[in-house]
Amino acid sequence: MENIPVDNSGQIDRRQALKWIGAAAAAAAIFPHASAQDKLPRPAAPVDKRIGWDPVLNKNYVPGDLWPLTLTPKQRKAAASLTDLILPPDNPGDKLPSQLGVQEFIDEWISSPYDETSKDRPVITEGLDWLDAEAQRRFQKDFADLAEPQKCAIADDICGKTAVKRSSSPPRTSSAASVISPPAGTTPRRKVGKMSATWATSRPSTSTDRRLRP
Amino acid sequence: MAIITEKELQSTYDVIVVGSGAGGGQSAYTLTMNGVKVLMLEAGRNYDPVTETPMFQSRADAPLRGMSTREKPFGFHDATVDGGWEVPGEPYTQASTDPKQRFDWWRSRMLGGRTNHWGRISLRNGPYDFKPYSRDGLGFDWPLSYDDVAPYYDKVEMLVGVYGSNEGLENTPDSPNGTLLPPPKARAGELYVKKHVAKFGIPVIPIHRAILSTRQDHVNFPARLHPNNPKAQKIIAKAMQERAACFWATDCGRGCSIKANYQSTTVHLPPAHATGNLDILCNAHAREVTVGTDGKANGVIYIDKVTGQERAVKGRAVILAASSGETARILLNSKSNRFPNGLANGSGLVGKYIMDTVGAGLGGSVPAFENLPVHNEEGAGTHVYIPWWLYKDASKLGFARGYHIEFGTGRRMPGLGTGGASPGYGKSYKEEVRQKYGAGIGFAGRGEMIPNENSFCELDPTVKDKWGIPVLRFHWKWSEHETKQAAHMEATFAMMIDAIGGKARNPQADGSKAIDTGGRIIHEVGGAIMGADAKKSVTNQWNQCWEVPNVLLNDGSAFCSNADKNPTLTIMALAWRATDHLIEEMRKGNL
Repeated sequence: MENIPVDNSGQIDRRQALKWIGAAAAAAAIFPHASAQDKLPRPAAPVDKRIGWDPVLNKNYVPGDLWPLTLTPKQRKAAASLTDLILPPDNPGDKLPSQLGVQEFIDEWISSPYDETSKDRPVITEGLDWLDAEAQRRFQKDFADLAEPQKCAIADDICGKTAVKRSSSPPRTSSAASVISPPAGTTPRRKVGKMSATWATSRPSTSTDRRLRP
Repeated sequence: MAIITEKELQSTYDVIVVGSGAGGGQSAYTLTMNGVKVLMLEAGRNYDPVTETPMFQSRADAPLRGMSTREKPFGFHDATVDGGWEVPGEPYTQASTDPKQRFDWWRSRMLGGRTNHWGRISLRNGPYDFKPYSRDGLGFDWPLSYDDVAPYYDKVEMLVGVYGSNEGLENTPDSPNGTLLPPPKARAGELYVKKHVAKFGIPVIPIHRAILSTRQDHVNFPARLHPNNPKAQKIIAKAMQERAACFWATDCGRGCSIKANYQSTTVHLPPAHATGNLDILCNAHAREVTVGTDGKANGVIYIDKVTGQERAVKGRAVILAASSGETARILLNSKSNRFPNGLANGSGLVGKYIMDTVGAGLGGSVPAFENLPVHNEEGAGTHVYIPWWLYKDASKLGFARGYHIEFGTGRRMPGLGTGGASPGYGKSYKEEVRQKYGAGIGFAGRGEMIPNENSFCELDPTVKDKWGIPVLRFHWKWSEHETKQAAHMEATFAMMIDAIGGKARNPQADGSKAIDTGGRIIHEVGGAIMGADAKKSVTNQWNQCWEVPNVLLNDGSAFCSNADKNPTLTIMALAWRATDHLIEEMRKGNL
């Protein structure tokens, strides 16, 4: 079997697409006062809700077909808004990520019965909760209802500017902190800048960290 | 594929073929085209690529964007049914807990077996590859030569349809004119590599792949395949016309509903079935070969997986082509007073000398590939490859034998991780994704492993599968020949990535860390090696078990070496050759 590694294989660095949202969740560790508020229990999917050993292949699946989705309406709204900020349309009239249902894909991912994806669940849910809390704190509105410059202000903070303040903090051991570890085997990338310093210095060594290693 | 039910079984068959993949498919094809009545037993379910292949689903149409999961390790759309690294209810075990001594075993439980998803790379073994011991004193010589097999390579290439070119390179055989189909053009990235590695003496040439780049010559091929057999010619001419040429847009690993690539279920079994000489029984898991008072095999006991009942069928000869591991398992489980250690195991070599391919990989990013104008880079996997080029340096390398290199470049169907942009958002983030989309390169080495005493399988003394059949326990150890080869691969890949101005990700200097786990390349061969001496091998050059000449091993189990060339084409060529010999022996009344 020829399994050539190419950069767009579905198996390689699957966390890449969620990395930015992961960075959002990292801020939950940076702003501990805004930690997760409506934590959901991890869904316990019955065996028959898994993909199975002989699924019908020539059929189009949509999120929710196999296992129930678990984001709250509020989290989903924040996720939709965030994906539209991450991937703005090239031309007026182009479909937005939220219109393509990217938030439902994220929901499918974190709600799945597979450890490889559901380990991202706290990253996403706590991050989304933090987004709304931070938006309320700064602008008295939910994230999705902010004007674009306000969304950008928060996003810019997440992308590095604020992190520098905490980069020399002592290692944290909460589960929220573990999300600021980079995925195993990846190198912090240049744009992360200050954030990579956080990754490098405050990687927790507690049992929560092991979750990130396959 | 029309299959039969147990009620329709005949009381006896000329030949029972166990397994429906490359070896079983070729055996059944050759037998039935020559009027031999065949029963094929397949442990998995019936499978129809024409109606089941997800030709036009995108990754977004699959759960979790088609990512690798326990049940679908090669991704959701991979054409593997009820299998992968695990088969539910059918475990195998490891003799050691050391991860370096693991052997991972890929199985599928479906008609056509692993031919439904394989990479279709179809390289001939060269003359050296059949006489490795004579060249360097390691491993075993085959009891046959390239010239013995060449006519069967010609026939298999014509039958299944293989594209490629003749380059006249050392130990990289050419095919007779008109046998190969034209190869697809090299992609931009492939040409770029070719240009920049030429200074190292590294050749980049079209790969050979079992895919129809054009439709087959259904006018001339049938007579070349089946001289003096008008019925067979007519059947295969019709079957060839039912196959379309590739349109270069879908992933071969999903299978092919238009029959443009080779899989047993679209190429071997339909014409075999059209002869009227083939019965196929699915969900029939062979447990053991039965032996008569004359010491010859006379049938097979199988488990009907639907009812869980044990059943027996009778035949004048038995061909095992259940995959190397499964074939060894069946032999070891076929114990009788006459064969207390398993069938055809007087030499004690059943299960011994199992081999995989040496695999190591390295990826990198290549600025020269960034922001290329958008153009069609679809196709069939890699269009070129690098055959082993250092035959003259054998004494200087520190390891025996060699490897070929496959590599992937360009934009493919996007998936998670496409582009590999830095964390960020907005317009600049999108631009970075577009810039990096298709600017990666991945090299994979595929090299020869020397058979060794420490790599073998045996029956686990306690563990049984859900049908009560003892399972295989694997022992595995790479020798320094393999680990040093893997280190050489890594250094070569890093050198090539550097030569194209790219940045390699993580070259691994330690070969024992670079090398893939045993079995991971899914080129499992050996376990019942052929040889010239009945005391030192399990079969003769005709895949016939020395002790039970009416049992043939027509999968990779009889391989006594595993050249860097991917084994499937050779499995088919040897199966055809062995089956021709079986037919001749049956006609002469020798069996």
